[in-house]
Amino acid sequence: MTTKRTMTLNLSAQEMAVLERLASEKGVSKTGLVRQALRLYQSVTERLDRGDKLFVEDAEKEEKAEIMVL
Amino acid sequence: MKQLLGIFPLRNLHTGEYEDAELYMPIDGQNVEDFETRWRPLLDERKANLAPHETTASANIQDAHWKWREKTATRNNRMDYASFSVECGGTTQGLMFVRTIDFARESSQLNQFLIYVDLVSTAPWNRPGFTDNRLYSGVGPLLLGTAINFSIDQGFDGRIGLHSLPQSESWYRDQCRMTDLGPDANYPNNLCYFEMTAAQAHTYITT
Repeated sequence: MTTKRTMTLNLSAQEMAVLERLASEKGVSKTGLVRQALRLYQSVTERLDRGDKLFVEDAEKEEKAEIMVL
Repeated sequence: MKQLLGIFPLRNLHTGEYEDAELYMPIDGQNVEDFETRWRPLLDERKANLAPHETTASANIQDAHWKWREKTATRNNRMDYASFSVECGGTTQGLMFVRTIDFARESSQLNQFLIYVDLVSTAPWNRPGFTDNRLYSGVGPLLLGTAINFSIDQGFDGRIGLHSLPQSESWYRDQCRMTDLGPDANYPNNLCYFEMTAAQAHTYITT
């Protein structure tokens, strides 16, 4: 629905393996997975910039841990 | 700058004729102005003059407090949101925000990407319950179909999810055939969460 631009992405073998595995698990293309990662990173960064904090929660132990994002 | 995505027919219930509606993304300043100057006064007036037997749900105005101006201002440059508008008859007939970074909860598609419909509204004069003399029919189905097509465009196979206001639950469950996953304890007011699978989405857009 929007104009697309093309770029070359240089990844290590490990990075490419992770990209391929996650894309396969999520049922999207590698481009689609990178796009989702970028959207998520922008969303998280914007919230952190507003002063919010990011946590993960262990549903069984009800433990929360803050994630530090660079 | 908004982009025209397509022209779709809406039925004018006053004339019985179909009219061309334009579907755009994203929501722009004129759409927000239409909400503030045309929708909101009607919603506020209806809310202030509910009959004793009426509720905000039966009058179909539970979304009257939604802040389209603020959300448009803060979300339009973000990649985790997309917005759409329907214009017909010289004004805005429908508005929708979707989020692009959510994961499915329904067991057959658990943790797959989906498009989350964050806010969707049709103009008050098109709503059953709000008026007995509705103008256009088909705005809501057009916007839900847009969310499905956007999901397909993103590679998410048409999967969508949403939390429904009580006034809309039966529409999503019975008309749209979405899966009702029940009240969400982690969502304000424990609104019911609905999800559409790829198969349900295919049925929706092909029937």
